[in-house]
Amino acid sequence: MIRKIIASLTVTATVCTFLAGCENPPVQVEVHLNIRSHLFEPNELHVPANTVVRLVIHNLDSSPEEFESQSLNREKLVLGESTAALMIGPLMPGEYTFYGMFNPHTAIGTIIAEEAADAND
Amino acid sequence: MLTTSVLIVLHEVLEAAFMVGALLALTRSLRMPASWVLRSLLIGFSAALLYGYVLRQAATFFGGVGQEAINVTLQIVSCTALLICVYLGAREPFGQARQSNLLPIAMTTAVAAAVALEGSEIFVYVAGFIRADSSIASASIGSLAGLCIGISIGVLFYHLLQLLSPSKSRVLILFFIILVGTGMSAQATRELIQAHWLVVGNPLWDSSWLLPEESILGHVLYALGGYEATPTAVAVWIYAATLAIMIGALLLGRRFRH
Repeated sequence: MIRKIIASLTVTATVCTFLAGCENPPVQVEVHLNIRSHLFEPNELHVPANTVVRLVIHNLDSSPEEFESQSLNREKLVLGESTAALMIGPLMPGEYTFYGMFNPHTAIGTIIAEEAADAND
Repeated sequence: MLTTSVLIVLHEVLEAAFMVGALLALTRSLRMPASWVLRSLLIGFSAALLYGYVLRQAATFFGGVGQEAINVTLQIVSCTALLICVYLGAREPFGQARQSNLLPIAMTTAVAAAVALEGSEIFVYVAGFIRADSSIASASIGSLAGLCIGISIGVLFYHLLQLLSPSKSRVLILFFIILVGTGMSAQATRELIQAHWLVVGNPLWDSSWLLPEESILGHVLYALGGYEATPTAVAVWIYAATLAIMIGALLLGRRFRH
């Protein structure tokens, strides 16, 4: 009985994952973020809600930084004097904080996801 | 700077410490030689240095998501090796030396992949300070302190797993190996979503008001079971499927016990 449950759960999960993967929405917006002197520029980013956003991080410092956000569920290492990109969203309207794990006292920022009408204001 | 270095290194070391602690406890329970530990750490550290060294080039692969691709590969390798450890560990009889040759290989693979993954990040962090030549003393002391705290937690965890009777302790050890393995798959899912290779979506729930990921317990549960406060549907499904497969391996191993 337990084996049947486990087997069916595994098959369902695999199928769901596959189907879900097929319907992945395309990237619609690209936003850029700089790291300079262990600070994020800008430290407030406005993005449209319910949209897949490509976040491009340019580290202008010579030291590495790790972009980290618990609320966005993201973590990415950005080497010194290099560029890295990651996908975020679709986000529900609201504020999402992020920080640099290697310099958590200075490198702090917020992503604000807004409804389309608000974003155009 | 000192506290930051301690926390960064501890965050990276903790998961590997729990993994080594649980696998060493299994080694003791099966009366196996523990020579695989040194081997796995050597392979892991060498791979971490290599990964850290080539990261700049590797990060540009697959349209800028090379880092995620390598991380996912290491996480899947480690998770699969842990699955084999669970099956073989459950299959071994009590009180007899009759281990499969595959078990030390699986343990070495699981730990080496985890050390390569977490070690590369520490390597990049420390190398950044050496190059920048600033605050190197406090960063080094902090990193060393983080490493020592992580190892101590692993040793404590290993001894805690020895407290029960052999049969109960075996089940507990395998349970923790399953948790670490499932956590590894959860991390792989996050990397795949981040790279846009898996469906993105809104979180199913938000438990950050109850248990924030950045709290101490949040960090421990992240290392021990891949805790996420805001998981998406796909992440929950993959987590459940991995857990089911791991428990299936445990039951199958017990069924075919020598």
